[in-house]
Amino acid sequence: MKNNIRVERAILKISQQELADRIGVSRQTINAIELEKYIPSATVIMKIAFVFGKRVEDVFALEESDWR
Amino acid sequence: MKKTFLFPSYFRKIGWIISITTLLYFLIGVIFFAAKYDFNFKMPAIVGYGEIPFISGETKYFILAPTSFITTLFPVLMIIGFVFIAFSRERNEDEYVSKIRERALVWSVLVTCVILILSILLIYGMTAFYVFWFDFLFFLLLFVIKFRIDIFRFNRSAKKDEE
Repeated sequence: MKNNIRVERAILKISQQELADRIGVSRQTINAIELEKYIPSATVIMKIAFVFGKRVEDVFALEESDWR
Repeated sequence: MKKTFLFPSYFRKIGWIISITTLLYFLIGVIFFAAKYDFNFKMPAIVGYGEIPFISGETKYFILAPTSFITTLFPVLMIIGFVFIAFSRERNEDEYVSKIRERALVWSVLVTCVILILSILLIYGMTAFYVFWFDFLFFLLLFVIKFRIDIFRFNRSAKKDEE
C-alpha cells in the first residue's frame, strides 16, 4: 500500500513526532508507515487522514501487490 | 477493540532481577559447590513419589512429595522471570510493536518445535525430563532475544530519518 504521508506532513509542516502524538502511536511507527514497511490498522489509517483533513483514499492507495 | 493483556513495563526489570538471581544461584551454588546448595524440601503434590530418588519410589497421590531447588524452584522462578521480561509493555507500545511481538512469537515457537522434536528423537531417560524443562525455558529465552533485537532495530531505524 502506497501513501503520501511525508508530502502531507510537509504541507502541514508537522514532524513525525507531532503526527505520532496526535494519533497515539510512536514516531518509529510513523516512520515505518512512511517507508511503506508497515501497513497500519484501519483505525490508524483513518486517524492519519483525519489529521490531514483528507479522505483516506487521498492519503493511502492500494497497489497491484495488495490484491495478490 | 480489546487489547492483548501485557504486564506494566516495570515488570521487565523485576523479571530480569528474578531470572538473573536464580540463574546465578544455580550456576555458582549448584554447579561450583557440587550440589551443596541444591536444598531439599517438601511440596504438597497431586502425584508424586514418597522418597528421593523418585525414580525408584512408588507412585502416590495427594502427598507431601520430597523435591529440590533444581527440580522445582529453579524452573518455576526462571519461567516467572522470563514471562515478566517477555510480556511486559514497551514504553512506546503501539500496534507496530504488537506486530513485532507477534512475529517474534511465531518465529520462536517454530524454532522451539524443531528443537523439541530433535530432543524427543535424540535424548532418552532422565536427561530427557530435564531437557524438556529447559526446552520451554529456551523458547521463552529465544522469544526474548528475537523480540529485543527486532525492537532495537525498530528504534534505531527511525533515528536517522527524522527531519
